[in-house]
Amino acid sequence: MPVNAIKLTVGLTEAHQIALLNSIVHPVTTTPQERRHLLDGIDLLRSSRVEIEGQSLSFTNFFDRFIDAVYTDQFITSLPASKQIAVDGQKLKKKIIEEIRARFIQEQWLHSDLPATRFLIAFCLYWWNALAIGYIFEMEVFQDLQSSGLLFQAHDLRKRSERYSSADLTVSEWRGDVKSSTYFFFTARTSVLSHDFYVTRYYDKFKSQYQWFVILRSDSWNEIDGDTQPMIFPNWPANFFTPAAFEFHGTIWVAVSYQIWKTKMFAYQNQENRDES
Amino acid sequence: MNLKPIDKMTDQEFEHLLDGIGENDPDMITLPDFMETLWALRSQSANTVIELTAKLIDDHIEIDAPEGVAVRGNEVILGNHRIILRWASA
Repeated sequence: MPVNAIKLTVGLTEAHQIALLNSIVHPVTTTPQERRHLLDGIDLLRSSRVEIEGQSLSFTNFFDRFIDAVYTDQFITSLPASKQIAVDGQKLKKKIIEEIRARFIQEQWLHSDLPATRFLIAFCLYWWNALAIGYIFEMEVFQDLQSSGLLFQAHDLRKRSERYSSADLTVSEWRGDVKSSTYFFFTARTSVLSHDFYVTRYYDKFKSQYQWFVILRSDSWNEIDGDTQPMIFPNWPANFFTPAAFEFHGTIWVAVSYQIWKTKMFAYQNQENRDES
Repeated sequence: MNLKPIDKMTDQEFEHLLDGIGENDPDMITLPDFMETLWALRSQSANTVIELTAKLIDDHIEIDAPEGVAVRGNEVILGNHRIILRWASA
């Protein structure tokens, strides 16, 4: 069923588009200013409208109905069998992106008579790519926690109802989320960081690899360790091997390397076990 | 690649852009840029008056939200609240 019309939300500027393109083509050199434009641009695209099958849908609804509901379950259920989630997930992700592109042509969701359909496919592919990357990261973290023996409870990504649960995992008494940086910013920009901790990552361009780290509430950190160094704009540390504290919307958070957090959590859980026995 | 707005690209340039989406990872952000972006977000807040529309499509809820409201499946981030909508049969 072809797309009949596209109505872009007023305010989508060339700066928003360039920020989106830069994050696709040159992600590591995208500046913080461009990332803010990117977040705003994605919001403007999400609320843009597409007319299809006699209905007017937001880009978000179109994505949920025709992309997420069709391709994400298939992607997630294929992943757990893999022992190399990052590598195999990347291959599977590319394959599904090609399937989505082919569907856009087949269904005439992208066609030259309506050039604005380019925005719809760019949005859907960008968002599904970010979603797939987020799930690969989440599964990598779950797999690592499982193999390391840390006690935790995670939601079941294979169940659609649990995928949208408010927290991804619970470790001891703390509820947390695993978020790729893209998703972390989309959460942080709403002013709501409601969980006790977030496992996320940054990219070390000198080592050409991701560094996982944890952002957690200072009171949670105080229970498992306590020592921090303050960090204040624009003097960011080179890494989070030394836990660093910062304020965000009235709450003090601590950023610490994932390995250190895991080690501290082990010690905390061992102490809990000794106290109980 | 010389970046042009999407609607000013040739077909070939646009196809090349789409090729890049699966190849590159938008998550590649350095530590200073991560923190600077987070710092910049401190000044933003979601305090706009808004209207939401929800529909039940097959077995899941679909929410139509305007710009500035984060929606993920049946979950809406609204001000200081995370709202989860569930369908209850009568």
